[in-house]
Amino acid sequence: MPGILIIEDDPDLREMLKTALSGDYLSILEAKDGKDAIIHFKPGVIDLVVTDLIMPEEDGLKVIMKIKEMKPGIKIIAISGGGKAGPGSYLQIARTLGADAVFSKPFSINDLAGKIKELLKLEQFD
Amino acid sequence: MKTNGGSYIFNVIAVKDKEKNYDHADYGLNARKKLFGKDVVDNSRSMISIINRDYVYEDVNDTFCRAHKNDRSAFVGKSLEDIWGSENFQKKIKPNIDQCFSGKTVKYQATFRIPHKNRGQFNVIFRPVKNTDGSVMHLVADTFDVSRFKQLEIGTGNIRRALEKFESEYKNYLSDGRKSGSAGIPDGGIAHDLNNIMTTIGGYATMLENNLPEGSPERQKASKIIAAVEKAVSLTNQLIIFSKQSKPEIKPVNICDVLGESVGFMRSALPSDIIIKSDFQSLDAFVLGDSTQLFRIFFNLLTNAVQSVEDKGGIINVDLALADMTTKNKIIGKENITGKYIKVIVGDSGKGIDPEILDRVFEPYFTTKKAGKGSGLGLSVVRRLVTDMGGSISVSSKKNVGSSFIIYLPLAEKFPE
Repeated sequence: MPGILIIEDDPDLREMLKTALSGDYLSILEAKDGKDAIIHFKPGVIDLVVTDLIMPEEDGLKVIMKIKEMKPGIKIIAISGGGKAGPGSYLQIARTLGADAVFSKPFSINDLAGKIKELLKLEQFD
Repeated sequence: MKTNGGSYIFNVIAVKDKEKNYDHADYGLNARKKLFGKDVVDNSRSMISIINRDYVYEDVNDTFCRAHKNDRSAFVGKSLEDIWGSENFQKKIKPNIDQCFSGKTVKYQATFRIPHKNRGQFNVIFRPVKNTDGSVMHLVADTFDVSRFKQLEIGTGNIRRALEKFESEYKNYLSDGRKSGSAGIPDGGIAHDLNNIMTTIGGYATMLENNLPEGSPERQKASKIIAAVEKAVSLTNQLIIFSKQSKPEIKPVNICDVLGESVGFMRSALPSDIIIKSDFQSLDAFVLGDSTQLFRIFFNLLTNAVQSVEDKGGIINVDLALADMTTKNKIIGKENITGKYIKVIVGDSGKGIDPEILDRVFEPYFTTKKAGKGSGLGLSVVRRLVTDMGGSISVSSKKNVGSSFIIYLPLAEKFPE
């Protein structure tokens, strides 16, 4: 079963993402910030990371770099939101750093689920 | 008894047959009832099965097969213990079945996992099928997946909590804005939080929409939540653009476009008893300025106008005209202006401004609004922005008739893009 790590500092949003992606085809792990994610990252279990970019503690961009170091083949989806000036460029940098897809908040969870399915090449996905 | 895939033992219930060889003898006699039985049973939203005294499935309906993603033949003739696992069967299923075989209808709610599927919550009913002598050889199990209803409950609860959070965050923001003088306009920080909340609300609503049956009123309501979230998002984004603390970019700006935009933006937030009339003729009139600042000027005046009529409702008039003052000097407001100007009027049918304070409305920190409603900076900022552009602003007002703000901005030559 593919493993997904959700890194998001907003607890409500994190729970929503977990609920949306939970199912028999994916196992979901969560981290409340980048620092938490890096400490508990298990390369053997996680196949895809969904990470917020602007977070307290470890910043999302650093998380992408560190996780890519720990598991080069990992798929990464970066999500961000906020003022017009910030997140656009953040998402751009995330792509440059190796994020496979970027989403600007607010995004449709159907789009996110579709992208995960595509990146993990899942046939069945509820 | 025929139990292979494709036959319908359910008909035994529908026709209450006394004989065991019902399947060939009474087809003609009970054809209609049989058809009725088959249709109803297979189109039921419940998983329905017939279980015999050996705890073996004698038949299952289409809904049962669909839920298990398997053929009828995978269940018919198989024991419940094999299908549901020994522990599960002995502890949870068998006691209820035994009670039913004693002649009672058994109802309970259970959480379990259909093999290869997610866990779900189910309403289970076991009904005994009594023979004429009162003995029970079969029972009908009716299992209905209520997970979606539970999900709906949880989903709506989560949406409600997110909305409460939104409200309290926005209130905090407004009061902070008042202190910092940013007049209640969201900046990048709050926008990030608002977007998180909107993503949360939209996410749950989308989950509900995905899971609810097409065409159902619940699904339509979920779609409406999504549409409302999208509206809120576009509003937030407009406010972000509006509040962006960037350096002003001075260039020729089409005043009609900006005025139209601010009116449209204001309208989207108005109750139905406040009407903005803006049937001015579209002019190809350009002024030299920053479009965001111009938007801010008009938005501020419109906000004041709306607040002056919001108790009783009313009309706000927005007008625009060219004013040629090349022929003679005019004193408008406190500024002495000459040349070609564009004149913008924002008038309201509100309570008006007391004559004694009319002179003070452009002073910084002067406000008549209740705490939390205004910073007292709006009109002073408007005036500064207008004079920076070489224009002027003035006000006339009559108690209980309304107020009019008139802005003159110097016309610019039209520049190439």
